[in-house]
Amino acid sequence: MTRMPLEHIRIIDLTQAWAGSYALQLLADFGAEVIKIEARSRPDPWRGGFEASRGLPCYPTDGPGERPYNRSYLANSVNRNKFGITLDLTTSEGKSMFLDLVKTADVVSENFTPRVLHNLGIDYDELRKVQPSIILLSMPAFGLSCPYREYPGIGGTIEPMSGNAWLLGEERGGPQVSGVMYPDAIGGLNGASAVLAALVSRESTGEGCHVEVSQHEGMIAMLGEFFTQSGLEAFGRIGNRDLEFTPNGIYRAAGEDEWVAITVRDLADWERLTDCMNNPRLRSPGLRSVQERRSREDEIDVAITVWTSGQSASDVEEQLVEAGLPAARVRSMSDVLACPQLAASGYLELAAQPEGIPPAPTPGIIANLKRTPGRIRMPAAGHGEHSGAILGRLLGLDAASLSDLEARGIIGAGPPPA
Amino acid sequence: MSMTLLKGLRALEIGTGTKAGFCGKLLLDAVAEVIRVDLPDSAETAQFSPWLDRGKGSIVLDWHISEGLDLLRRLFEQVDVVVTDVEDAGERAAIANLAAEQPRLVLTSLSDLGERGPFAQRPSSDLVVSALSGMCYINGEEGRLPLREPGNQTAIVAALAGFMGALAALIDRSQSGLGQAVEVSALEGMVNVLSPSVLQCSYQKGAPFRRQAADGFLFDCADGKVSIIISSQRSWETLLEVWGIVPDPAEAHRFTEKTRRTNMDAIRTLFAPVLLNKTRKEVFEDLCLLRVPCGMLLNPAELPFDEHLLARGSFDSLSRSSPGAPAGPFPGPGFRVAGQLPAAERCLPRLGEDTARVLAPLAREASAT
Repeated sequence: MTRMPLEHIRIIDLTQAWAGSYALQLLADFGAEVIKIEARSRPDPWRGGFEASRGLPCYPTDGPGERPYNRSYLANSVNRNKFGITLDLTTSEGKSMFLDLVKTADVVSENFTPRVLHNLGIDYDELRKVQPSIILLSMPAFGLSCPYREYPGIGGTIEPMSGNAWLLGEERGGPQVSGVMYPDAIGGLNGASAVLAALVSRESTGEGCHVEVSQHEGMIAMLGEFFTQSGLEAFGRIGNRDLEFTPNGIYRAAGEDEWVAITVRDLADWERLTDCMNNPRLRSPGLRSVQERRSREDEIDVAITVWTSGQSASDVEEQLVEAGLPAARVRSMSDVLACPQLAASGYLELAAQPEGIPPAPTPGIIANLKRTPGRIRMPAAGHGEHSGAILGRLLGLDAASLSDLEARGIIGAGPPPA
Repeated sequence: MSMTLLKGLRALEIGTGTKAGFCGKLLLDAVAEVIRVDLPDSAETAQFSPWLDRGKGSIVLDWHISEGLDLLRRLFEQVDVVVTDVEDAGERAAIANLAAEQPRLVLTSLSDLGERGPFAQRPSSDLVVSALSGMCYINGEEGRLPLREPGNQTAIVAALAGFMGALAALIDRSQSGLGQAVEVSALEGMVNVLSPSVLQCSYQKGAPFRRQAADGFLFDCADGKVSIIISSQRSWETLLEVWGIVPDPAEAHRFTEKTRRTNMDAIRTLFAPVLLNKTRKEVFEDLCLLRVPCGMLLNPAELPFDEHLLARGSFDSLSRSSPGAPAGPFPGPGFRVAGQLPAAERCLPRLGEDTARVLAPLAREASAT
């Protein structure tokens, strides 16, 4: 086995749900030793709670099982390659053990509102006292400063606050939110990026720092292209249309809820499309430039839909790709799991799952380092699964001490003792 | 203290797409020196984006000919990272070959669909990547138009993945002394972003399915819409209590933790008398203080004037980066250090304005050898 780029990095992780957990999974994928800490009495909300959740249908089809909190696809999708321990940070013993862990670590991560770390007495200044070169990643929804700093936020509220929901939607329809809490994932990408940049910096300066990711700002940064338009009043829903290419759309095909995406990048693409459609009217000299096509975009879209709706999406895709045009049938997630490209690249791995769940196709490492690639090493940890092993190894606690801490509900797995 | 994370790092950007452009911007945001390399035949068509390119250096170099290729080789000797999204396989191979001569160099190569495999040669676009990744299917309503995320977001996801890969390779280099090649495809990046949906599909046999309604938790209020997340029982009970709403007991079955998601129209009717008398800001602030997740639906045009974003300096102050340059202000990066952002003032480069400064010493060196 080749070594991985972050094998020498240890991260103490307090993040929860999607954004933070995903950021740390990305770092764990590159080889970092990530130790995720949850409260004994309050598991990561993406586990769905100790009892089977009624509001979050997140379990496999064969049911929640005896330990539903370890069988949530949500939690298990963003926590692989990590160790999982529990600690009660509101107790002096729990906090002391946490700080002892920080002494051995390179990075601490959290995604609470700013007051939480301060109230627990473990803010950046306190962490630096025990580990001067520590890097702290904070991922509050709205950042560490200014009016909204203490406001909670999740993907479903960041999306409208960032302008993304305003822009997402059919051209003549209302605003929409994405089908997943998408800004959480973007927050995760920014969180992992910020830690990596801080680690590069520390390699040369020897100094840690406090890096901050506002999920709100991270999502707004995705929309920079729209601010290149002249006049801010220009923002409007454009469906799948593009600021550069015309036509650029998704068109109905034969069959129920079947669609095909088509992009015309330039005049050559336009000629390829009209050839495939065998539509002389669209070959008129008045439609050769992007500006001309844009002025008649509705008419063009109708003509394309008339053509695509009489054929299967796969047939349209095949013809257009053969002709050299960017086109694709709209894939469901089941289709994605069967994607020949992802199979050929080995990107979807059949990865082990916890709690007796059969191995499942899982996205691989987000960037392929050719000499020292990351890899999937272990499934998502169960709640508190590695408490004894980690605290024994890193803090030297013996079996009797661990049993005592568990009996008092400071560490352990699953619901705390009554 | 301004942000200085990658100060001293030098990077080249080769390619004109959003993938390389945004990856270069991320390096620049972390205060690396980034120089964009354009071919001479792009002189008439190359357009610098005030969003992506401000602050970058610009050189024009014909690396398709041997003298130019030799200069690019010498340039590769002097930089830490090369980022490229060139699509032509021959150009990509030439860059990879040059990079392989430099043992400490990190080459980050970004593509839409991958450099090998059955889709590698397929023409592509952001919309196509989005359709192939499952994102379009997930967005929109059942039976209605599938939607991509607005703009070229698959390219930006690839850029973020490339940035991460380059940094991970630099961290490895500090241990091993060796650089390496990093490959990223936008398709793989998007599928990674959708990891929860991928695992859901395995756990729940084919799910996720398309939604019945795509306006989610959006509610009308006096001056627009707000998003209120009412999936948790605590949030639901808090709202009923604070707003003094008592649902008809005969309707209670529609408002359980399990059924609320599918009865949003009934909930909108229930909340309307309260919400239509409050502004977005009032609802947002009231509910956030109650720890009920809530967001205002904002037109992007409103963002530069939002009090929170103004106070944080989230948008640059530049209204026009150069005479004739359109638009702005532009959003800053998604991360900062010790509360600091990179220096705000950045100029849009003129094509090739750094060519002589960067290449002349290399040319002299070449003629001397």
